[in-house]
Amino acid sequence: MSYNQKFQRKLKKLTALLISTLTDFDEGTENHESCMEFSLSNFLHHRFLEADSHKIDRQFKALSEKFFIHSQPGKAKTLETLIKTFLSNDISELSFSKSQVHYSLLNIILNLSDSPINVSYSKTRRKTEKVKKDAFNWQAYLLDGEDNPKLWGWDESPLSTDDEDTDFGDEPTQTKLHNEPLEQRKSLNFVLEEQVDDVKLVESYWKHEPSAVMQHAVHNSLSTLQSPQFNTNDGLCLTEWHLMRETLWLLSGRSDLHVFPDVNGTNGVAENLLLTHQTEKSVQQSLKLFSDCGNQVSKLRSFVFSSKSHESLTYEAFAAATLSYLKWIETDLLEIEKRVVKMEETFLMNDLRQSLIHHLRILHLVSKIYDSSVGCDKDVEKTSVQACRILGALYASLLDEWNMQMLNDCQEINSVDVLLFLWLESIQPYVEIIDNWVTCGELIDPKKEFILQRLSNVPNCQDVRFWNQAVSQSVENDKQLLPWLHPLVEKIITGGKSMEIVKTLRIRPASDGRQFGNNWRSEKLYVRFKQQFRSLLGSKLNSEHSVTPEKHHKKDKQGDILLQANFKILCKQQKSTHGPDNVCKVTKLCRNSTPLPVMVQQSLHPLVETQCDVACKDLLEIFKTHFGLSTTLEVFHNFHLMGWGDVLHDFCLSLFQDISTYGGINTDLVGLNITLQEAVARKEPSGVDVFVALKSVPNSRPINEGLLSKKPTIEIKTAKQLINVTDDVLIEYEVQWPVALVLTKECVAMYHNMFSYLMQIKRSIHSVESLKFETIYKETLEAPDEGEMPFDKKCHRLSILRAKILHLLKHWHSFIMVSVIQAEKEAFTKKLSSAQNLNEIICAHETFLKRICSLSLLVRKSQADKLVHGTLIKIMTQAISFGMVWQRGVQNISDKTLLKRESDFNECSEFLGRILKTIANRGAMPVLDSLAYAVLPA
Amino acid sequence: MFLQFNLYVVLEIKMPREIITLQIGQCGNQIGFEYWKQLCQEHGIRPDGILQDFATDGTDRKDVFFYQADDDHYIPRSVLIDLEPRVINSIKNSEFANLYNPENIYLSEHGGGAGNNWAAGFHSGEKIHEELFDIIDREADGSDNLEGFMLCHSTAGGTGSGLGSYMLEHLNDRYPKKLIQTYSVFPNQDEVSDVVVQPYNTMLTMKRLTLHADATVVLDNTALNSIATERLHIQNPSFSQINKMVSTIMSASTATLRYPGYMNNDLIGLVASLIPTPRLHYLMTGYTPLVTDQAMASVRKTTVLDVMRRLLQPKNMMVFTGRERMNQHCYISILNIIQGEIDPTQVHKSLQRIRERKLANFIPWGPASIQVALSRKSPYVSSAHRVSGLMLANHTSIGALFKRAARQFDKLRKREAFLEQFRKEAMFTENLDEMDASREIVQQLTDEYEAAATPEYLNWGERSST
Repeated sequence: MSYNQKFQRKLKKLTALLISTLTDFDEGTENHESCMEFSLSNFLHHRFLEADSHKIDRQFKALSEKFFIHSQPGKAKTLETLIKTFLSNDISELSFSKSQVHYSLLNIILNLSDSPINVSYSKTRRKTEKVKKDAFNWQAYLLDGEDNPKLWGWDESPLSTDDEDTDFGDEPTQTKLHNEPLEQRKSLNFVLEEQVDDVKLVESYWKHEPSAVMQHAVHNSLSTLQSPQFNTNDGLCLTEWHLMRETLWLLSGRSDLHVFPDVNGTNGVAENLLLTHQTEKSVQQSLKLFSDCGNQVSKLRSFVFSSKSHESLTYEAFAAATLSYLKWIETDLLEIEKRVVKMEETFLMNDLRQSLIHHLRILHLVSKIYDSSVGCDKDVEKTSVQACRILGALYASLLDEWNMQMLNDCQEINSVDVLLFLWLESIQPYVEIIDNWVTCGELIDPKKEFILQRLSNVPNCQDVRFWNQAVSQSVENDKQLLPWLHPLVEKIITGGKSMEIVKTLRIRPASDGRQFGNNWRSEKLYVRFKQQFRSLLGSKLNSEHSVTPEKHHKKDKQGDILLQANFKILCKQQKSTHGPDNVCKVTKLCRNSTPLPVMVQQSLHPLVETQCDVACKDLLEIFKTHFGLSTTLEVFHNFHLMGWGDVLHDFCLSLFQDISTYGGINTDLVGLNITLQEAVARKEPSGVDVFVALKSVPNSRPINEGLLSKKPTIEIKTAKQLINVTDDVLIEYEVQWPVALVLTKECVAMYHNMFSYLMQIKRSIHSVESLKFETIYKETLEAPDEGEMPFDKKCHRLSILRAKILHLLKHWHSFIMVSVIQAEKEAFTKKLSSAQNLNEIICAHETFLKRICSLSLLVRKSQADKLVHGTLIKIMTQAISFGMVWQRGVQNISDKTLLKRESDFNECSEFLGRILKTIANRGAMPVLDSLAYAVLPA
Repeated sequence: MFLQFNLYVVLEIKMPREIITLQIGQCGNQIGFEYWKQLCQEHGIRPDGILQDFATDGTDRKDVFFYQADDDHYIPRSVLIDLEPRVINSIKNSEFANLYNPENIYLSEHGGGAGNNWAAGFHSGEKIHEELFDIIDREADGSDNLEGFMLCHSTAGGTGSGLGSYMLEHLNDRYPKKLIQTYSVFPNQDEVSDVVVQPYNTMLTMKRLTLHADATVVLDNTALNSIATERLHIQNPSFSQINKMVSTIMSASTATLRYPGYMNNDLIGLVASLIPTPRLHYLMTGYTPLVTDQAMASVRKTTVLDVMRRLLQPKNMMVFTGRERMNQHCYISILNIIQGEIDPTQVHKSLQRIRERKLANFIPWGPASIQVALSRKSPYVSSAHRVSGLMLANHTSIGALFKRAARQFDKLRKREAFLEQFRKEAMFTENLDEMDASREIVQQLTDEYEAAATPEYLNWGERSST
């Protein structure tokens, strides 16, 4: 312990101090002594544990977590960094990083800490020692006497405020319209913050007079001849670098630059441009390309920011798309600019042109599109015409590029990409209008730009003219302008109108389009169309690659994962420049063989068609379920076309009996209606809401008149009127909207016509059918008059005549009811059940009615038809009068009458038969053939 | 709003056309029984008259032939008349006992029948006139607008022929404006031995049929039997089998009245075009497919043309014309009632085809009248055939049937055979003029039928009216 004596003495001293500090015991007291003993023995014997590194770590972690919890993240972070630094640094030569000493010290600190949370911590700034710079200008020293390579063409003149102003003065005014963050603009500055020493300012060459330029040129050439070393460049001579920067500005949309001055509103190329290695003419020629381009850019720009672009939604969409394309160009220009400014590689005008060549081409195309559409706008034109035109121009251009693409190899910046993007964006308003109309029933077209216009004179779909006249097409040549839309126009019209009605009716159809899938209504049409289109493109891409690296890869069973990853990266790498995010890449189209129209059709048409179909089907369902379209049609068929033969027979029978009893129709409507309802009740106990009306009595709804009142009948005055007595009778059935769309007034009139016609036939048949033989074969005591044939014979002849008349009329009746009405009804029912939309139903119904009317020879268009009808009327009249004659008894029928009637009838029937044959032979109505033979006498 | 008046105003409402069926005699009641059985099946009516559950929504017209007592109880508008109880008792003992209105059944007190004697039957009619017409009047009053009567009887027996003739005469008097249609069963030639006096009965009946009936559907037992034997391959066809065929014919002939369609909604309309002159009102029938034609039906679909073609085949005609030369005869008019699923567009094509192929020979003095009536089938009766057809034709060869009967009558009359039983009755005590008069009428009828096949018929008129 001798070597420790000093240490021990020191230890004791320190221990005493420690004790007296910790406790209040004074030195020399008993407590102090015992403490001393305790401490010393502890120091001697006690084995203190080493500081556990893990535990310390854990404790510090917990502490930083505590800081976080107590919202003192700054402290936590600082603590972490400090500990890290501490642990990584060496304390002394012996204890390296993360040694026991470190941890011991950290342990002490931890133990000493009271409540770290409550301590506010502020970072102490380190006072770093500045390295003293050598004051000696080594650069100047070394470069003294050397040639300065950078000095060719420009000077290292001190910062001049004027230049700065002119350089950057016009920028802020332009940026206002761009709405872009100013930071981006700043990168165009040639002054970079960090490179204070390295200012690249340009000699203001634009300040020189043109004449001075000329002089300078001569001067310069002379001076170079004299002494090659002589550098008299004072800024008049331009280099390609100058040109490039001006070009870049021009293409970004500036105008009136020195190199590209404003000539009558467009940019031209300045004359007197002096380049050391090119002639003026060649300069001008090569710059012309850029000046044209600049013109195009400024034209497009002015369109985008003018009010013209807001004239219609399509224009707006087109303007927005153009703007994003222009921004793409600007981004590329910025990249190029950076390269130019850095000057790390050789980058001259030609390189500039090469790198921009695709953009130049695309710009040219877009400009052409603009010229052919917006440029042609006249004030008087309808917005729809303008919209169509621009869409047409876009599509035509796109199609051209697409087709050319198949021939050329794929390029880096694809014109097809851009045009496709522009086109897709521009058609969005149109597609949305279609979507709105077909899904929600409203044609929202504030600027009236859609090709279909909803006419304002038919505001309500409940109007009678709605179905036929409400929508008109406002652009004629949509087939060539919008070939992708033209085939759908009809469907869209039908679908839109159907939806409008559905929405007006405000009844939700039961199916609600569920059969078309769950998500069909959740997304907009445009979104779905784009998805579909992209997937089609994508699928084309994938299918075309016969051997993709991935497929290749699948051939080795358990490929190397790294290899796989590398291949994936390779595949994804595309060398094209970074364009706007939503331009879909169609690279590698050269192997694609599907034409664009087909792809558009495949993606757009099914979606639109599905939606239209849904709208139409919904409408049909509503019609059928809520508005009883079928029921109404059945009622008309059963009553007006006498489908309910028994009911109508009953009704007619009583009517005819009335007529023969009273000589005319009793205008007692109440009685007639009772008759009808009684007849109906036998068939349909719940009754049908039809009622009888008389044409001659205007207020035909029966009111509560005296039941037994017999008003004056409609008298029959002449024989010709005989047949027309029943024409007065109508059967009415109320047809309301929307069923009135199908059963229009014209249709109802046709039904009434058929009903009158059938009534006439029935009446004439009844007149003859109801004749009894007993009436004439009566035993009579009278002898026949002189010269007259015996009664027997007469009766016989009358009977046979009756048989003939009856036969003809019955055949006619049977022909109409069976071969015409029944047959056509079956065809119509089939069409009705398979109809997809309201149009089809309306057409089918009209066809049905027209065919019935024409086949029953009711429509008197041609001469033959008129003759037929006239003859038939004659025959029917003959039948009725024959019946009346018969009733008088055989003794009151003279021979003459009989013979006349016989000959009349024979004539008429022969005539009728021949005409029918003629008509049948024409081929249009072969069904008349059998009727003709039935009608012709033997 | 239109006010629906539920009270019957004093307006002549003439609407539904009811038909009352009179079943007279043994044969008449038997075929009547089968007929009502068939009708009940077709309309879904149970044997006790209650409507089956599955038939409540039908669109058929039951009210023509049935009377609806309370809501679901249907009663046939039928009067059952017989002079002996056997057949009616068997009806009363069948499951259909409760179907008929018991007040409509007339059974003679002594129940001796007419003994196959026309005169006996006829005179019994005089005795029971009041009672019979009470029943008939009651039924007629129970109809809103009676269209007419359907009479079922045979011409060869006693009751059906005699009493039937009586009814024919007096119905005409009592209800002059009503139509009278008869389903008259003519005797089987092979069974001549059973009732030897058939020809007398037939002649006497035929006079009334000719003069007082509006239309007669001739059911020739000879033809029916031979069809049953040859086509249905039934060795000895029983009466019930024959009657089944008859009921099929009868129900088919009334199909358009019971399943209303576009046309032919009343009886007058059906028959008016078939009958040109008052006496030529005898209609022969044809039906297809008969049961064994199943083989044919399964090969291909039956079309309208198929059906019509088959109906025109002589072998399907249900009248035995014997030795008549068919080429001398022709159709005066035809009505085809086709039931089932038919394409209406086929109708005119079929008519054209028939005309082109000259499948039917028509009268020279008038138009070639084929009418087609389409009707639905009963939804409650399943059948193997989609389409079936009945033909009602006015054919001049029907005279053959009458000529045969006349010849047999002549033979008997010449020998004055079996006349004693007739002389017992009042009508024949003094003389047999009635018989001769009847014979005369039948002769005129057959002459007229023959003349009708010639163009000279237009000038026919030699006839004395009685």
